Amino acid sequence: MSFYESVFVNVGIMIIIAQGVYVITGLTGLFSLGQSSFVAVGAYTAGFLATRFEMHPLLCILAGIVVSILVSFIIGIPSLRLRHVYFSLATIAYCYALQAILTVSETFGGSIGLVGVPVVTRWWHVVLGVVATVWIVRNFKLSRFGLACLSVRTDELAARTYGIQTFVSKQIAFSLASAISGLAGGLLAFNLGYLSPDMFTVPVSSEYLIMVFFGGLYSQTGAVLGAAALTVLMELLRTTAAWRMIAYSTIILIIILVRPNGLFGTWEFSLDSLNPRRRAKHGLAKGGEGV
Amino acid sequence: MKRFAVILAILLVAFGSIAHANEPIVIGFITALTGSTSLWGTQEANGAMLRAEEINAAGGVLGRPLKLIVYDHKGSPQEGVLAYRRLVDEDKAVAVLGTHFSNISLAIAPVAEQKKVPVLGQAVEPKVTIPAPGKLNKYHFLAQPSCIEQGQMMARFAFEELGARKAAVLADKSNSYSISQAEHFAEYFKRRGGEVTDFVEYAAGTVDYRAHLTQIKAGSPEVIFLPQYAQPGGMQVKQAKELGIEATFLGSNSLSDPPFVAAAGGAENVAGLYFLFNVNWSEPKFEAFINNYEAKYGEKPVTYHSLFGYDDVTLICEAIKNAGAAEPEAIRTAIEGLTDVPIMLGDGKFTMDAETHRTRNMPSWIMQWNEAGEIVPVQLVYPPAD
Amino acid sequence: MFVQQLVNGISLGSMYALLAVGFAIVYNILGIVNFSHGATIALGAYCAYWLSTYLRLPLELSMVLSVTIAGLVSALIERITLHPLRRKGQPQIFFFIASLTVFNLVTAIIIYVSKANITSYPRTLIYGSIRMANVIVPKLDVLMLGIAVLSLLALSAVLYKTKIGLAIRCCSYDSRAAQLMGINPDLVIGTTFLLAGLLGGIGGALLGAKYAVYPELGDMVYRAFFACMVGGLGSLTGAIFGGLLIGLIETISNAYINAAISPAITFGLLVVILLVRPQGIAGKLVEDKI
Repeated sequence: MSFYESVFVNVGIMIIIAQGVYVITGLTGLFSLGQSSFVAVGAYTAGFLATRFEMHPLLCILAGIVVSILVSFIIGIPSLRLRHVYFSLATIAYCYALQAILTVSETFGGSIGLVGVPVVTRWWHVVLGVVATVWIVRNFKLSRFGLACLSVRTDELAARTYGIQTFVSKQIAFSLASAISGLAGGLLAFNLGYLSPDMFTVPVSSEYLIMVFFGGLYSQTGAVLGAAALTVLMELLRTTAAWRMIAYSTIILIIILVRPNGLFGTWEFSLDSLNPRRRAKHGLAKGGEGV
Repeated sequence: MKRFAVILAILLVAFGSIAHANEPIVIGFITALTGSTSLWGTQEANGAMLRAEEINAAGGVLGRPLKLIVYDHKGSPQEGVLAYRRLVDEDKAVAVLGTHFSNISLAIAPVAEQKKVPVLGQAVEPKVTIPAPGKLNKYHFLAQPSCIEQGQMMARFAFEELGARKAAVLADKSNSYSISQAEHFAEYFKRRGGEVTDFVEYAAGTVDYRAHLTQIKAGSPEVIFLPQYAQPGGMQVKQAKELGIEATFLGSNSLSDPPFVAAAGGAENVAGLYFLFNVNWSEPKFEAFINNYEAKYGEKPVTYHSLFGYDDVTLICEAIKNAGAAEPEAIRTAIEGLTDVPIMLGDGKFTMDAETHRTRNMPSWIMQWNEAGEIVPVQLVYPPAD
Repeated sequence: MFVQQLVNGISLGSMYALLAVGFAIVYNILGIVNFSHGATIALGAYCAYWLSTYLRLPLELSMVLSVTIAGLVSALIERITLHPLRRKGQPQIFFFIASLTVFNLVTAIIIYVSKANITSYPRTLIYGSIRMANVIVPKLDVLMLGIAVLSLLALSAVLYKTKIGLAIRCCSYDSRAAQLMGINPDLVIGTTFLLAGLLGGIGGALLGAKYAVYPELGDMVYRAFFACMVGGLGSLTGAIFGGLLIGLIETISNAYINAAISPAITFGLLVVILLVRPQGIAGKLVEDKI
């Protein structure tokens, strides 16, 4: 695997993670600072099965997704009752707790980490993952559940008054986001071949959130391109050595201040917009408020 | 997606370094230039660049100049792997130096096995070179005594020289450098017939250690082993003094950093603390190094990590010279055969153990902080044979 | 030994409490989660160090100056990040992210300038400890608890005895009505951030005195966030309770259960508290406004 491919794989994994953040934050309006711990669940499950039982990577990744969904219920059922900022708080708590558990657990390698996961992720695996994720998220967004999530984001109380089961909607979005993070985690495990608890901290979660904001919180396209742009930017800044983090943070801050809605705001890429005839038919005004 | 990949590729090429005509030998160096450990990383990079300059001034290696490319890993394993790939694929490095972080080296190791470009680092975790019993990472080498040896050397010193029979240990469970040394210290100390009154582990991000220290105090140990980085180590010593703990403190090599004394609240708090150290700065051979370093960077070396970088470059150049060619595979074989290479650390001689890809019988110094805030050498110790 | 552990817990908790109040004042009055508070904490510690070491000012003076700097920087952060977002009518939740980025940026700058050096002030603020039977209480802790209480009293004096305090409270009830009454929202919000920054600076300067000065000091903001929310919405005293509670839980679980797993226990327990009492310990339940 060449350097470009490995950057490409990293970009792809970040895009998948950003899709998860988009579902839970962009669509549903819940600020999760614990998304990295769902990546951790997927990664550690996959890595553990691969090193201990030498299972096929695909099965490991699937198992990682399943475990992520299970965990999302364990975490979601209590914490989704909490509103607004309290939910963010609960996700921070979860992130700290999972990190402590992974650190003390001998099974998962403790602080030394999980060593010896085969390095098998190739670019087409990631392309498949990205395409599938983007497709699922797009359909979810346009489905009944997606609209319910959107109503929760806009006004939870009003949504409830209209008979939307807000808790169920939130749980579905949360589980979907976790499943997506789990997938990213699995790919990460087989890309890096090594996992340690300090790769999945609260500051890492906040970086994911910043990526989605950078692209445009209410735009799926923005989430994809934001994640890609910032991952590439980080790599490009490698040659700036000690200035790297300052440059990176400054660029993000400027974008957030100049374009608070992110680079893409609520704009969505669609195949229709490439087709002039259909474009004329639909009119140029696409998509209103971030649908 | 494909179009994007093309754009990405063009961008990266544009920013990548341009190959020079004089065909220098490219050596990569991965270290922390940003983030909370960048103090060490910068020192390490400075030491390496200084050595590379010296070697180039003396005519280079195999008649070719040395080109050292330093990349940041900002403390993250993913970043470390990307830096390694970039060095190997883009910059065509024939060997990569660094890191002294076990977590990052553990992540780089499997990639190095695929890319077949050797890595010479300073991590202390034996799993970096031996991921599983009976399995050896062919392309990874470590040039510092392992955490097993470091923990045992300290334990033997406490048991034999200090005559201690009751020891307590305080270790960071989330840091493998800390916990591995602690475990091997305790294991050796018990094996020799000592008693470990408390083995206290704590989690990352702790700032207040008084709960742990109060517990340790209750067991009234004679020595307390703190295998720590400078910042937690300093705060632990400071808080232990506040709680009136009288036991003798033992530490690991990071407690040599001047910031440790600052974090511990001054020289009077650290006076009498013994720690294991890779280097004895008071030896005359360092005078030239310190002067050259100061001439180049305008300040004296702050931590011993500058010598990690310096020795890494020395060792890799020796290996290239022995290999007779700047080819990764030949260099790999040559590193395995390095014997009695003159270096700065330890007793000034370096021998690679081809079986473990770690140092063979590399000694360390037992040092002590005195009231004036100076480091006083106590004795040179070798890893216990048992 | 248990009494000693309680003292340890209260002393740690009082530190968290001080940080939490600064976080809570912005949250309670403006409804904004302000992670840039972490930046002011770190600045408070580093400025006191820089002033006392490089300019050789007396430590107490350096600490006072650094608190002032932290306050001004906090107001400046509001001016360049929150203000434009407010002008554009963005939901305040956008400041959540902007403040995270500011926090990252300031941390990166501090690391760059200080070369990630861990350090401490040129001298200890106050030596010695009070010894009662077997229990040891460092004098520094008593002093810090005193400063924490004093800052809080000063804060309530500002909020309840001055005109700007009245305006701030007015805005916290209903910012639009307040504007209609001729209250300048920019001034009110700026002052709130200034106050928060001062408190963060005090916290940071004291943290530096008590522990050490190091780049990740700002990460304390997450603990402050917890203390503020667990303590209770709409209540600054709640934040103090929250801070003390976290300090105690952390110390007790460190001492008697397992220190390595203690974050899982501490934060798990805090979430349970929030589930049982969503309004926090001292808070009043605020129903949704429709």
